[in-house]
Amino acid sequence: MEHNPFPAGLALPREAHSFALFIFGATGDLTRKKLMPALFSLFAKGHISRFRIVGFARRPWTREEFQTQTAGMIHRPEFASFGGELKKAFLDCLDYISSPFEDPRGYEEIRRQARGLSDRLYYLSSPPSSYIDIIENLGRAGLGEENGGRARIIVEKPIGHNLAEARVINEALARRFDESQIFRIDHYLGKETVQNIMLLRFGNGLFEPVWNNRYVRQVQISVAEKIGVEGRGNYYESAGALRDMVQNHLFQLLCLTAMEPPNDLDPDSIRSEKVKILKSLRPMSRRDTSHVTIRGQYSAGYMDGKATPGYLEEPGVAPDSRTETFVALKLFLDTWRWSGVPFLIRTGKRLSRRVSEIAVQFKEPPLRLFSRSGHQADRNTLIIRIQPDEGITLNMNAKIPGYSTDSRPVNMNFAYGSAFGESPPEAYERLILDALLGDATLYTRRDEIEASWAFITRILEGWEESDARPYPYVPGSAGPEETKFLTQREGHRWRKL
Amino acid sequence: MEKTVKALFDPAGIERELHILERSQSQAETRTSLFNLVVVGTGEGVAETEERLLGRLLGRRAARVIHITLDTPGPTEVFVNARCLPDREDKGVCFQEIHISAGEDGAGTAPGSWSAFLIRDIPVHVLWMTGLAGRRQVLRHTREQADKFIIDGACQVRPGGLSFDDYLMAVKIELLGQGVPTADLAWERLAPLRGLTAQAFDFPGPLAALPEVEEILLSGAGETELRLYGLWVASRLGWTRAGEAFAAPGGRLVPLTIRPAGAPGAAVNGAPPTGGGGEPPGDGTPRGGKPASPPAAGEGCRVLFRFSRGPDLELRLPPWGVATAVWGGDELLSKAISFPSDGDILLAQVDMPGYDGLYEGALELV
Repeated sequence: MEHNPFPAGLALPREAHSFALFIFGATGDLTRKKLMPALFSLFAKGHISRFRIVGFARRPWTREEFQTQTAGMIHRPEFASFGGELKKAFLDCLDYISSPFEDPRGYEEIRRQARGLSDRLYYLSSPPSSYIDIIENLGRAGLGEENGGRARIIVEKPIGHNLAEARVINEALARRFDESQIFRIDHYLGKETVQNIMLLRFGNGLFEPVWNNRYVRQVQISVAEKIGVEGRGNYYESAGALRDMVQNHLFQLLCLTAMEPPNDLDPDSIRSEKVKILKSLRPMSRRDTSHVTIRGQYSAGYMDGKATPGYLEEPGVAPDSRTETFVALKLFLDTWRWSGVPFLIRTGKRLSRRVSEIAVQFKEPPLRLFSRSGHQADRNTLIIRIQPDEGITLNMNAKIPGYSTDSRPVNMNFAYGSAFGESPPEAYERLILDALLGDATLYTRRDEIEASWAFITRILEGWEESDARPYPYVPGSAGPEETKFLTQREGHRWRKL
Repeated sequence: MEKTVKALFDPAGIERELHILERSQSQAETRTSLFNLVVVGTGEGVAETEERLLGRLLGRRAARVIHITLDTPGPTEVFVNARCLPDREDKGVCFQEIHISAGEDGAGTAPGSWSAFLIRDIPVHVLWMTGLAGRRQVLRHTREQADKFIIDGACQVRPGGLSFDDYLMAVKIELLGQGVPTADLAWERLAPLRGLTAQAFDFPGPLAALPEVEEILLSGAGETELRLYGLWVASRLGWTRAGEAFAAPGGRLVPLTIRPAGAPGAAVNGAPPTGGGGEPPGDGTPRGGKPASPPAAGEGCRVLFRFSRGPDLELRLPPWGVATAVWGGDELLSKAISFPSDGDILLAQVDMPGYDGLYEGALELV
C-alpha cells in the first residue's frame, strides 16, 4: 500500500516531526516564564512527542540542574491536572550545554544532541548583543545546513536598534540560513485576538466593502499600559516607546488593519501584503517629525491611589533622559484604498487604563436627514477590542423613543469571551509550534522588519536633531495634552482611553 | 446555585422569570446565550448523566437549556431555573433552564408547548438521551428544530435496547437520512485512537504490512465504541462486513475480536509493550496509578493488528499519560494523550457546526 488511508478526514492535532530544540540564553526570564511552560503545554496536548530540548547558556548548570529548574517552571496551577508521569516524561527529554556563546566548542555538542532526531530548531533568547556570535558559530559548525532534516532559527526581538543594526543581524542570518529557515518572532502576532483581525476582515462579507477611503474617515490604533517601566529602566533607556512598541506591535496592527486581502493563507502571500503597507507609509522628513509625532514622558503622580515615581526617577534612568514613554503618530498610507485617511496611533506607559484597540471611524451619511441645529448624529465607529474584553463594538445612532426624530448613539457589542469563556493558548505555544511545522505566517520577514525600521529610523533621526524634550504627562492621563495637535486641524479627536 | 422552581407554562412569563432568576444568580454582567440545547431523556438515572455532560459546559458556554423528561406520571409541568458561573473575566456564564416533565396528557412533548421557548437565530442542539426506537413522534418534532443531534450509541445498544446493527440503521434512517447532522458520543470517545492509528501507519513497516492484516484485536473500551472503531478501519480499507468479521478485497476474511472494558485482560496496564503478538496483557491498573474511571474509554484501550507476514502492530492508549505504538518490539512513537470526557465531547460538538463525515462513511458499511 503506497498511501496511508487513515489520516483522511481526521481532525488530527498539528504535530511536529521529531526535533531537537536548542535554547540560547536558557537561564533567562523568557525561558522560565514563557518558553518552557509553552513547550510543556504543547507536549501535554500531543503537539510534540519526539524531541529533545537543550538549554545552551554560560551558567555552569548540569543536565540535572536544568531539569530541576524546568520542573519549577512547569509547576503552575494550569498544569496541576497533569500527572507526574507526564511531567517526568517531559523532563527526561531535556539536556543542557554549558558554554559561552562565542566559544565554538559548545557548538560541537549540538550535533551530538540532535542525533536521531529529524529537525533542529535554534531559539535565540539571549541578549541581542550575542546574536551575531551565535549565528556565526552555528554557521561555521555547519548547523544551518539541512542534511535530511530541517534546521530553523527563531530570533527574538529586538532585531537591531535601528535600520543599520537590523540589517547587520539580517545579513548575518542570511549568510548562514535561507530566509525560509528564519523565524523572527513578534509575540503579538501569536495572540488569538490579533489573529482575529484578519478573520474579522476577510472571513465576513460585511466589512470589506466599506473598508476604504470612500467610507472610512480615520483609524485610531491605541495600545495603552497602566504600568511604568517596572524596574526595566536600563533596557527602556535604550528603547523607548517607539522602538519597543511601534516598530513591531503597533505596526503589525496597522498592517493587519490596512492590508489588502491576500490571495491565500500562504505565509508569503500574507507577509507580502503587510510589507506593501509598510512601504506605502507616506515618507516623513526629519522636519516633519515635529508636526506628526508627539513624544511624552510620564512624571511623578498617583496611580490607583498610590504615589508613583516619574520616569526620570526610575532606577537605571538618566536624570536628563529624553527617552519617550509615550508616542503618538499621524500616519498616511499612499495607497488607492487608504489615500487621505489618517491613521492615528499611540502607545504609552502609565496611562489611564490598559487597553489595546483599533477604532475605525466611518464618514457621515451623504445626506444628513436626521441632523438638527446644534446637534448632529455621531459618526459610526467600529472598535476592535484586542484587550481586555476582546470583541467588537459598533457604535450606531438610534432613534430616541418619542414624537421627534432625535437620535442618540448606542453600542452594539460582541464579546469573543461570551462565545469562548476559557483561556486561549499562550502566544508562544502557537508560535513555537508554527516554527516547528515551518509555518512562518505569524513571523516577520526580513523586508517587513527592514521596511518598518526604515520608517522608524527617520523619526528617531528627526528627534535626535531636535532640541525638544518629550512633553511631560500626568500618570493616569491619556498622555500629553499636546497630542491633540495631531488631530485638531482636520477636526478629529482622540478616543477617550 | 440554589435551584429556584416556578410553575409556569407561558413563554412570556417564562422569559420574564428566567431573566429575574439569571440576575439573582449572577453578581456581574452575564453573557449572551450562544445556542439552545434541548435535552430529551427519561427516568431518574438520566439526570446524573445529564449533569455530568452539562457540568463541562456550565461556566464556559452560555445557553438556553430545555430539558424534556419523557414518561413522567401525572400532568405535564414546567419549571425554570438559572445557573451561573463566572468566567475568566468574572462575567456570568449562565444556563437558562426550562424543565418540562412531559406527563400523560402529551402536552409536554407537543412542539407547540416547548418550541416557543427556543431562542431564535441561534443554533438548536438536541441531546438525545433515550432510545431512538419507539419515540417516532418526539423524534420527528425535535428533528425539525435541530441544527444538530447528539446521541450516545453506547446507550442505544444495551439489553432491552437496540442491537448494534439496529442502532446504526436507526441513525442512518431517522437522523442522517433526514439530513440532520448527527454526532455520536460513542464515536467521538475513541477519536484519540483513530488519530494514533493514523500516525502509526505513517511508518513504512506497518504501512507495507497493511494489505496483509490477518486479524484485529480490540480491548479496553466499550463494545459499541470498539465496534465503531472497527467499522472505521474497515471503511478506510475498503472492506465490507461479513457477519462479525470483515471481508477484504478478494474475499479474504479478517476477524475482529473485541474484548470490551470489564472483560478479563481488557484494560491497559503499565507493563512494557510486548510488540510480538499474543493476547493483550493487563491487570486493570492504568498507567499513572490512577483508578479507572467509569466511562468506557476512561480505562484506555489497546489495539493489536496482526499481519500474515511480519510483526504485530500494537497501539496502547492509557486513559491519560503517554500512548505508544509498538512494531515488532520497537517503539515507533509515544505521545501524550488523554481521552475526552463526555462533557469535553459535548463542548466540542456545540461549538462545531456540521458533523464528522467519517462517521457517516463508517455507517455505510451497515
